[in-house]
Amino acid sequence: MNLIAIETSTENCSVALLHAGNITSRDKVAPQKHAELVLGFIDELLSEQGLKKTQVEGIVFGQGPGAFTGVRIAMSVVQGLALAWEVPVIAISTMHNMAHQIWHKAPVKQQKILVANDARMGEVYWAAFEVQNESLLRLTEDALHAPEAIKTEGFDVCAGSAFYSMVKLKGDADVFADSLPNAASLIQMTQGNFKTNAQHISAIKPAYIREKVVFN
Amino acid sequence: MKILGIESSCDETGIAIYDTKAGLIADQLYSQIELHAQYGGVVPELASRDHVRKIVPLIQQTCDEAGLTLKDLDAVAYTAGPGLVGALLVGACVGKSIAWALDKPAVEVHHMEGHLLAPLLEDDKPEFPFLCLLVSGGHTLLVDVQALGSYKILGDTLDDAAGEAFDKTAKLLGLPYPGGRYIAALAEQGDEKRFKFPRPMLNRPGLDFSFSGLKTATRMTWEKHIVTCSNDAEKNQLQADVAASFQAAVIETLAKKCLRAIEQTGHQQLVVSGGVSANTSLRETLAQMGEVHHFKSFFPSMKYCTDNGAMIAVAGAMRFQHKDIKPHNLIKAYPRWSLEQLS
Ligand SMILES: Nc1ncnc2c1ncn2[C@@H]1O[C@H](COP(=O)(O)OP(=O)(O)OP(=O)(O)O)[C@@H](O)[C@H]1O
Ligand SMILES: [Mg+2]
Repeated sequence: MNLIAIETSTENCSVALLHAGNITSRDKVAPQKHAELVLGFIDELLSEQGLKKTQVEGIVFGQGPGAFTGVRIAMSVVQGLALAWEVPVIAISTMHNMAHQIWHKAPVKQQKILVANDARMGEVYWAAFEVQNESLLRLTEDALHAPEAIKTEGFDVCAGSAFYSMVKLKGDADVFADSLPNAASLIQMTQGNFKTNAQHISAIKPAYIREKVVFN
Repeated sequence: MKILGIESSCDETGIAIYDTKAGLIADQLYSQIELHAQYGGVVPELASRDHVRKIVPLIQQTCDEAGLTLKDLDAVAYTAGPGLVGALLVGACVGKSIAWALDKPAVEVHHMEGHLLAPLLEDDKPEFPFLCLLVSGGHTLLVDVQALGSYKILGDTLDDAAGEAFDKTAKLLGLPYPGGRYIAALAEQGDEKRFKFPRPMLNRPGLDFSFSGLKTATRMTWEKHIVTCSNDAEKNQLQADVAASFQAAVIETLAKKCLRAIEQTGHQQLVVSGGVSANTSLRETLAQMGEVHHFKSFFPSMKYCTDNGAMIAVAGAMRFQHKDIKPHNLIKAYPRWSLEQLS
């Protein structure tokens, strides 16, 4: 199956292509440049693999939470592509994707993962996951809280920009503060189950998590 | 050729399909006015989110209305600027991605060129060259239009835009946002001669506008008289009289500057467009002035005065025929972009 993946909700502009069972990708840390880069990256991957645009059969993307503009760039590029190609789409939580990347990097049997990204304004986007019996389970929904509200005990691995300075760790987890979500991982997460889980683009929404955006 | 037009620069999501032979064949619009009204103005983040929410169903409805699929289109046009950057990006990402996915050209349309060309959607349309008065929520411009893409700005506002002045006055009078049409409705019941508000910049040469002095005068008059109203009837009459007197001042200013510009340039056609061109009294004043001074005025039909996808589709079609536009993959929005930069 030929799949495209897009993740632009952090400073990483990331695109991946699945073709003939192989994943190729482009990642570039380029704040404010995602809109300019994203279609060009897909162009490069398609031509490297000798694939025509019309051969793409589906799209996966990171739906956030993350930078609002970045979340929307992936979302609205996917809206355009999915409508034009008439292909189905899967949206995946950026937090979930980051946990998957941690697990994929060191596939242990049992581990608790805490993902937390700086959400600005003194808050973090976060979610907890657990690896059990060869699968990654979600322990909590994606949420937005002040860092003090997050219990950090009992985790084996912590990932995300909030661990630079905001979230204080109690316990002795491995910390990957510079870990950024990427699109190749989105393809790994959906490979094999894409057709079952994919939806029409009209059923798909971004996940901002922060709903209060008006301050007066 | 058939072209899809996408507008998302502010608080309207507009999608349309224009056919260079058959004209406008589909047109859908969703206005976020109610969403923003409670805040008394457009909240950019909420606007962007609402565009994302509405753009897919609107594109589907537009294609259904035209009986076409996206593959049947020859090009995609979208508003690339000026406007709110987050809102613009939604239309730019969707529009450019559709075009790129289908190897079709994407046309970046200047929002104000869209307004300027909106009267070309009508049966009785202007022909180049002409003078154009663009009066909207963010702009008050007198433009010398020699040809498509050849625009010289003869007059601009030094402070508030005409629509903005209407909206601020409406707010002062306790009317809903955006208040232009409420002022216009109230003015019908008011006495425009009760207050003699300043006609800004009329006593000075040149074609620039300024509405902040008028705004202040209106506020001072309102505040002075409202405290003397002893009942609702008096208060309502005051509200209507202030609205009428304010509107008369704006319209006289706009009309006299138009005439001055017509005389300077020698144009015989005046195109008036943008949200404020929906004002009936402005339309009548300019039409009458044209009869006396031998120029003809053109306006978009009411629904194409404020933001819409149809004007972007028609502007995109004209731009496409005017310039060689190749498919490309760079998505860009231009929140600040002058009409004079076009060619
Ligand atoms: N009948 C009317 N009389 C006066 N003003 C009106 C009338 N109807 C609408 N308006 C004004 O038109 C403006 C909206 O026009 P439009 O949608 O063209 O502006 P915008 O898109 O927000 O700004 P811009 O096009 O400059 O970016 C508002 O200020 C509104 O009050
Ligand atoms: Mg407008």
